[in-house]
Amino acid sequence: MTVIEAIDLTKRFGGPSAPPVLDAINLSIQAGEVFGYLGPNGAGKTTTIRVLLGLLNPTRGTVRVFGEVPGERDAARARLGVLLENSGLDDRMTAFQSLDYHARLYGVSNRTRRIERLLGFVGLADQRDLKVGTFSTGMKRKLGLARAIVHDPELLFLDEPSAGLDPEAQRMVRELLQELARTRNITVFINSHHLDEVQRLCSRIAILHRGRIRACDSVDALRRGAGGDRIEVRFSDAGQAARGAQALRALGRLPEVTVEGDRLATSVDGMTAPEIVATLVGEGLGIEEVVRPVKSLEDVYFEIMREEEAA
Amino acid sequence: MSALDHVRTIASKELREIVTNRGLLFSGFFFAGWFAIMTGLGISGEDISRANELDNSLFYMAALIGLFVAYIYSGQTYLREKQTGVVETLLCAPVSLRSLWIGKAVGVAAPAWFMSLLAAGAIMGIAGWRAGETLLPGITVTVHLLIVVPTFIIAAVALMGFSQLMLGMRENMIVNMLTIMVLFGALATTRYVVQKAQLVTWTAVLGLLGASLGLLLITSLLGRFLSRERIVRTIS
Repeated sequence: MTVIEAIDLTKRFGGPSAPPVLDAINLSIQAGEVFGYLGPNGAGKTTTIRVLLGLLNPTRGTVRVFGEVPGERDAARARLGVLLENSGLDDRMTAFQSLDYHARLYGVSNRTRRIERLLGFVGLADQRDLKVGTFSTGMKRKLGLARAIVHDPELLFLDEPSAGLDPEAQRMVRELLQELARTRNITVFINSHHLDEVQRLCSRIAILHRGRIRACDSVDALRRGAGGDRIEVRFSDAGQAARGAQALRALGRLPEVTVEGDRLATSVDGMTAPEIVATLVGEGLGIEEVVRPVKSLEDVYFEIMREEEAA
Repeated sequence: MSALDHVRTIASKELREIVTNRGLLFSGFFFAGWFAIMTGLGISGEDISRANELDNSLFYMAALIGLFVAYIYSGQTYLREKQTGVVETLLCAPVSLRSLWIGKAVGVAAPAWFMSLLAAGAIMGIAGWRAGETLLPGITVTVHLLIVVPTFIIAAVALMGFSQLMLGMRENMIVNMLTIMVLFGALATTRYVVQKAQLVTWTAVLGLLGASLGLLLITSLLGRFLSRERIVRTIS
């Protein structure tokens, strides 16, 4: 089931001559996905979330969340949970009061039991009667997360969930999110520029730059796809590597085969990796090691950013 | 949950925040007390009868003190949530903009009205003490205190809330300064107003009630211009 669908989503602030903050965004997010939305500051991540939440109207294009125009029906928002950059908590309320207030607004039944369980879930059971104003940034973030899920939403929007947190708190929030995704099977939309966080949490990601989606795929596909899927073979000596290259070139199916010392490298384009290895083995060459180099998400991200800046 | 439940939930949250905030309570008591004492001590009965002057003072000051306290409290309710960004999260809740706006207005207007009633009690007490007799308000002023003043306060708070949600931070600063100047200007003219012999009439009381209801209606119509996008775009 498609939970979020955006077609040609464009948003401008100001007149038609103003540059678009979001430019022809197309998104389709399925139920149960943990979707990462990556991009540098000012790329349009928060604006996208605001449009999906119905806080901003698109200038052009259509947006549907659970098949409805976001913000059109107040009751439809009960299916959504939100943790924006600001945790949305009133400093003058206690942790319990804060969750209770939001639970009431969402019409949650058995509030006290649910809130106590949630406070335990985020590790704030002992702080239930402390004012939010006395909390550290990490504690506020965790309480904000509890607030976002107090009504058991089907779709959770998280805007920079670990912003301003120290590494330990970041890990705690990440573990909480992993637990949520695993145990509750909710759809999660995460805005972030923390590549590690996105890589660990998300099943699929989109990379946004200056209001446009530059890449959108699963993390693995993006990592393999960036710069082409490659294979590297190490032989027992340089002579064997040269013979292997000659054999592969003779087939005429691979665009480029390079040799550097005892290593042969080629892109897996025209032949599959097992076919390449089988050819080399068939030539009677002494293969020491076969490596499929995969780029990190960070490499992919910065490669895309560099390409965009150059363009 | 019905819209009324939402209004009740929001109003009770705002009310609780005001009554448990020592700073806000103190400023409410301070201003209500200060103006009440000054007004009570000023009732001399020299130019018009003491009872008449008391009625005039209650008519004028109860509304003004209520408005002043409501102004202080509304800043903590609407503007503060906008400045801290908390309002953005509330806008994502399944609550209509109108329920949010009205709930906050009720939560602010209730304690402001309470302060104006306290001030009215203090004015009566001080004036009675100075006169050496028990002074009670006439029926018109009683109706004014119990019906017109709360209507006036809630209409004013709704308008203040509307402007605080609608306008950007800089515009709100300008509006706040103007509001303060108007309030102090109105307080400064107290002596000239309360000395008039025929200030509190049914016409005046019903006229103010009509004006308050009219203000509520206008504010309600203005509410059509309020949107989530407008609020979010004026947050920072």
